[in-house]
Amino acid sequence: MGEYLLEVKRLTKRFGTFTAVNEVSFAIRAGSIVGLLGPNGAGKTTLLSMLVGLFPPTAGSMVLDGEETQRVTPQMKYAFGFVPDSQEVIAHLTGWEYLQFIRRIYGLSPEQWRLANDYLALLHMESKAQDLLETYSHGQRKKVQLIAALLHQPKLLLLDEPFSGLDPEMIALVKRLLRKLRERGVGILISTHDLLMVAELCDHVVFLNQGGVVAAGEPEKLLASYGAANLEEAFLKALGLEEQEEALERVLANF
Amino acid sequence: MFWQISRLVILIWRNRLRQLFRRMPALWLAVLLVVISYCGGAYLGYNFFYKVAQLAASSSVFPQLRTITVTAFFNVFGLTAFSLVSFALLFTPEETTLQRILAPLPISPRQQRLGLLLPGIILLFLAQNLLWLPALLALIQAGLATPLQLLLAVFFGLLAYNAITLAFHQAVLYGTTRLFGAERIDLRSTALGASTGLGMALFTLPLLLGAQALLARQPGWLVPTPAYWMVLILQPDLLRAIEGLGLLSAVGLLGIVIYAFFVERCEHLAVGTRGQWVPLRRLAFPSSLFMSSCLYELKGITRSQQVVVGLMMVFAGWLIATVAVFWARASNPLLSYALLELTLDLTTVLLCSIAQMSWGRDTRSYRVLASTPLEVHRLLDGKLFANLVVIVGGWVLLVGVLTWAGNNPLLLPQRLPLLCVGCFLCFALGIAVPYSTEDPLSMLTVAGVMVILGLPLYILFLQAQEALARLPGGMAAQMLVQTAAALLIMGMLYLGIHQLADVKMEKDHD
Repeated sequence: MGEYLLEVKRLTKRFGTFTAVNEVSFAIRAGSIVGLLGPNGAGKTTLLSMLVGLFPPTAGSMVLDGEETQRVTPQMKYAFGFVPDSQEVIAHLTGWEYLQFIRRIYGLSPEQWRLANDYLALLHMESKAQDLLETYSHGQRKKVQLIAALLHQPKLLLLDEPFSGLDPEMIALVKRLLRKLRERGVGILISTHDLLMVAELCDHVVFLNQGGVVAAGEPEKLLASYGAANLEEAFLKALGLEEQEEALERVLANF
Repeated sequence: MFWQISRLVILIWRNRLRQLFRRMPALWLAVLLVVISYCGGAYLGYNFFYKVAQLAASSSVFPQLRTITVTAFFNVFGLTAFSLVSFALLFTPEETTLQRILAPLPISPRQQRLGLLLPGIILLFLAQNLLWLPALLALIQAGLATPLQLLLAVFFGLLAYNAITLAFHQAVLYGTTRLFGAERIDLRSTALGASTGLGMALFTLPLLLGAQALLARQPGWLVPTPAYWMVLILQPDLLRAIEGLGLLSAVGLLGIVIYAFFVERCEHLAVGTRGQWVPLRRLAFPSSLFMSSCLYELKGITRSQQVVVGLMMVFAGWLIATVAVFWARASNPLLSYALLELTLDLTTVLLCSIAQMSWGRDTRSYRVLASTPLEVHRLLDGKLFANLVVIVGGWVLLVGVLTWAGNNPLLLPQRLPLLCVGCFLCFALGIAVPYSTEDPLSMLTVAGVMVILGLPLYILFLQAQEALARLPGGMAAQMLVQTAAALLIMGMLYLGIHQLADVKMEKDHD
């Protein structure tokens, strides 16, 4: 296996004449956290959908688990765990049944399955486990999705807004969990709008806009290259949105 | 105090209407058009009903014709009253902004509810009367009733029908909330939609069996319906009129009491009630991925409130129809057969619609499932197989008893291939036009597509049946050809389903 757990090479997705993802390239090393940032409609969800194998790209490829491919095969999916948006749950299963279903799909060993109860206890989810996922709050759904993604102990984690809906205690806990996973060599991709979280956790940042990468690199280097004081400023500059300040002043002029 | 709330509601309606007409003055034209249409329709309706009423009034062939005709009319009257109240309930949001505003005020919940309900009920009452005004006038003109008699009959009849309707819906709502829990999304619309369907079927049944009454020359089992009690009020005999009034008032009061009881019970069940309906909880996923996919779908089907509530209603309708088929078998074989055919077709269509809901139920899960080593195509196979087993199993059970009741058991093997094709077709249709609980228009679109496709397909099926009947070799040859054709179509649909799923998953993301 090469240096990277995942290499995305000029990945492109077109829906008719609309290009949702345009020649996006980046890589995730073992033991690193990469932040994928972008405004709504930047192509983050489409990119993640291709990475998890929902549909193939129009062009480009990815190297996953040491194998170059256009479409992720079922065998390759053992290499990663995916935490989707909190709305994306199998509503008609209870939390416990969902984990059992995951157990069967991944063919988890008894040792791996035993961790399910420990994860539920860690995330304060034991009492809710027998309820239908449909009745869970956003945060509770996120926790079950996180457990499901971790149970087969993947080398790579793909997380879509992992902190949304979580309370401060859980956010702190999940952050610690992600850091510990990084220490153990797990590669993590976080797709989010939360710049503060990215600044705090990520070793590498990819700014997406209108389907393409507008800037990428280590947070410190990005700050230096844009002459920005923080990641938010760098993000706005990278996307060419500094004029927002003038627009804000204009609308607030008479206040 | 409730009257103040009612006044507030009327004031809000008035202001909204004013605002609407100020914003769109062209709406006055629409109002004018509605008034003209109503007057024209009323004129034509009056002429039609006058002729019918006159025929019934002057009939010397048998004196019961008068009673049967008026009872049939009041049955339709009851059906429209039920439908209007049901649709009004269906389109009324569960918790209005006004209710939230009123909640902190020092007014009891009962007064609040009454105050909010009253303007709606009065409006519905007026609409129900206005709808049938030409027919009511025709009854008076033809000498079938005096104005006072008709006023009493309509008032007490509407009181009974509206109270029964409200009580029926509220009871169904209470039962479904108890079963599924208050946290289920769109439970109210599911329960109301299903109970409206069942109620309409129940109201239509006396109309169908009115033919039996005509043949037997006596009201027969129209007697225990409120429509017949309304007719009693029109009788010249005072005692019978009082009997009718008493029965209608009693049912009306009973309906109000039941409604109030269930409203209170429902309020106790408000937010936080956990659903008790989680069947197959103890059934663990097997290690075979195909079987796991089947069980996954089976759990989905049995836990979907739309499917379960719908099936309860189908079962209730089927039970009533089966009894009617059995009951009419000896006395009126033609009616029995017609009912059997109708029930069989409806049962087939309604059971097939379970497969139509399959894909849409999981719309939000496909990205999660696609990220696992489980191939979506294997999941699709499991879903399709589980649907086939549930639908065919349920259908064989229901139709088996129905055809036995109608003494026509051969209909079961004859229609089975059609059911299997219908199941695959509905599954494919569910992918092309997915069902969604979040989009109320999705079911409308599906219904539209089904109506457009359903009729030509049904005609095609009838023609195929006729062609099959001409085949040499008798029943066995017919069955063989029919089964082979069904298998071929199912094979083609199976391939289409997989192709469609691939396209749809990508397109839904577009």
